[in-house]
Amino acid sequence: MLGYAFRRIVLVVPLLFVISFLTFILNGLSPMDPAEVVLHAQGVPVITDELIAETRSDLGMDRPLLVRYGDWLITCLQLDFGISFITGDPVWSLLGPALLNTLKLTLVSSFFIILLSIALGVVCALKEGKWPDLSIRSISFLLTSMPVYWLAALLIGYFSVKLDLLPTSGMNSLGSYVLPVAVIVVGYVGIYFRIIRSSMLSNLNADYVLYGRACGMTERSLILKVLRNSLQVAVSVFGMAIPIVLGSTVVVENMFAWPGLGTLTVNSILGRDFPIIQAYVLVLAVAFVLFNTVSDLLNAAVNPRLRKEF
Amino acid sequence: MNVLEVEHLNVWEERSGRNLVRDSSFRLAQGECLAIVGESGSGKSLTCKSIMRLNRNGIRHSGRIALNGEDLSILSDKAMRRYRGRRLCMIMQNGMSAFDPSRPIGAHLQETLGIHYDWSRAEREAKLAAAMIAVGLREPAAVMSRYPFELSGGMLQRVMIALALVLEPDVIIADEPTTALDAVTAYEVVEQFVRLRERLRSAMIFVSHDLGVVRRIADNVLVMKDGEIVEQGAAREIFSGARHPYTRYLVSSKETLSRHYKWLMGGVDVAQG
Repeated sequence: MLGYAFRRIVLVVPLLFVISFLTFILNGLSPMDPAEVVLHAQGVPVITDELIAETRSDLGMDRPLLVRYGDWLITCLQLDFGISFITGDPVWSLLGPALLNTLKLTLVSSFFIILLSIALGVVCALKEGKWPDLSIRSISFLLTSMPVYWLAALLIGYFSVKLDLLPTSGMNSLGSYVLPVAVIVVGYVGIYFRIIRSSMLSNLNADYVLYGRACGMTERSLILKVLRNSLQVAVSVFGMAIPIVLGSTVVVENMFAWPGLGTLTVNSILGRDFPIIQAYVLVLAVAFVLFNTVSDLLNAAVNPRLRKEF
Repeated sequence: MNVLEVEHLNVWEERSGRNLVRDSSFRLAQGECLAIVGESGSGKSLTCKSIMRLNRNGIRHSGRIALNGEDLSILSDKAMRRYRGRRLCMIMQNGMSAFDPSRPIGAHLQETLGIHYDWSRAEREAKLAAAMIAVGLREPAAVMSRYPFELSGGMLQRVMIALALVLEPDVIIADEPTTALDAVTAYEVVEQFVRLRERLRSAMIFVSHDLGVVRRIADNVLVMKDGEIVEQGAAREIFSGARHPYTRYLVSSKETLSRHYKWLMGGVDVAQG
């Protein structure tokens, strides 16, 4: 297991290099010249070719690609992602707190997504075709089909405006979490509990359960085995779910004025603030890699086949 | 004295009401081996699962199934569970999928014996090791620490036979135990079944659609077609002079195939000395 963990973690290093390099050259693909954007943002009235060339060399854009990549990577590792084109603040001073806020929202939501998905998936699988299964599935279908912004508006309208129980927006107290988390959880649980359910069902109908029964094993012991084998699927699925939630909180953050990454990124994209966009893409890609690695390691801990064959 | 009596067994699908096994009756004497033959979907497996009370949800059965004169259908779930393994032992078709993929083989064996006997862990291990050596598994300790995917289908089949040896059940139900194996391994596994019978004196139900295997192991044969028993009798009579046209068809289509089979098996016999 330790050997597997070591090999798996070593593999991450080249992957991170590739990701960072792709993120770096992503900027070159944009139709806008960064130098022009900077000049626009600084409100320079007349933009001449000379001025652009000067700005380019100020920004260090006239040096070879790999040198620029190397420099950029080293500064990135120090969490220095450059200066925002628009506000002139260091990118990390904007991105850091926003990332933290989004991470809080994501982790709280993911916790409930995982908890509810496993609970509902197990209940549905054990009661397949009976009323608990049917009612959970139809209610979740209804909720998952609701557009996020509409559900958010309904919840704000009822709980915040009509009952005045919860804040409508911002991130001031624990109460602020309730509605955004609820909206995110409702959107994802409907998908993930089905994965748990079908994985449980295919395991419940597996030969090893029949043979276990034929050997006189108790239902409780067999359900534990089924759960353990089903969780192997769940671990990989949830490992990817967390970064997906992290990257898709944009709408919810905007609805609830959550001071997070989503809000920051949308504004940056509209303002063509490349350093922030670049840093956002990099941070998110790294998050994907890290969560995926953690889920692989967890998976290996529960799945002997993975551990032995890798 | 009949070990197992099955009378008027009907199996049907609850939702559609479709009959899967119709009015099936047979009995099994002490030490007898009864082969159930027939094509897939003829109700062989359903008959076995009904005896074990292991039909999946939505499949129902009626009729009297008695083990040593005791009606199994009136037993509580808990009492029935204690009979499974200890008195009615099943051997599955596919060893590769019969064990929990996340645990070593030994865990399943230990758990099963722990349910039925008050032996200590060391005693269980010693008995399992002896049984494994008896079925030709040379390194019992290594086999027990392996995961199912690390062993071959033939080895896993032997593991199930070894478990049956330790459990000493009244009836062994083997549901197509050789179907998933290649011809050579199948032959070796059948030989283990023959020896299992010699050692235990248990009655055995041997489901198969391989008449070559049936001829080797069975005393009596029960032929099923579309959920009905079309013929039953002593194995010798069935092979020499079947009355039902379907049985004659099975036997004759087998004859052509078995020439090749015998040639292959003969080769193995010589090789093993």
